[in-house]
Amino acid sequence: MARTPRETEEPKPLPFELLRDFGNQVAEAYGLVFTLPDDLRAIYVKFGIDLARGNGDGTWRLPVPARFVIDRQGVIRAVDADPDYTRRSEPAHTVRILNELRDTPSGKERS
Amino acid sequence: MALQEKLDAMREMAKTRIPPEARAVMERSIEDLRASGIMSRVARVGQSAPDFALPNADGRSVSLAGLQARGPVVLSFYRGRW
Repeated sequence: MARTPRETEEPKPLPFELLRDFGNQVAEAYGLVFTLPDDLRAIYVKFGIDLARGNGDGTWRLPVPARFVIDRQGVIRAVDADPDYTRRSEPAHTVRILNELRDTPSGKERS
Repeated sequence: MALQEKLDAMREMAKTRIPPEARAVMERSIEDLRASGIMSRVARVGQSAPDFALPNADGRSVSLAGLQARGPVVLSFYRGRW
């Protein structure tokens, strides 16, 4: 059967980098890492989730989901993190922060 | 729709599939994590962002320093499934 162009097309590259933080080392540097308690591990195992295996490092560690905005000088300009993994940064809010950063590139609080 | 509205819907949906005992443990673990003081250790506004170099999807090393030279960086930490 003939393939449609769509099927033979290369997947579009992501417009952002997707990085692998093996061992949660960078998450650790940002202060985000915690170890799951035993009772929670037992539940995940029952759900068929083997985090130690998925992590590939034998640990039951995870980062608190977090979003940082970092300026060109490497200074953290915004932080949004919540221990509740069902609460995430709103993308529109992040865009607003980036726009503000563009309008005041030198950074008021750093001068 | 805002992302959080979608996530709220996912959370409510998940509640119907997870047994109450399991849900209680999951919810308590979030509160315990909050009470652990972890948030006071998270990198703060005004601090220098710890530099790093990590492999991307192609296995190429990507550094924060390299990214920030091109413009402001949005750094998002997430975990599988959620």
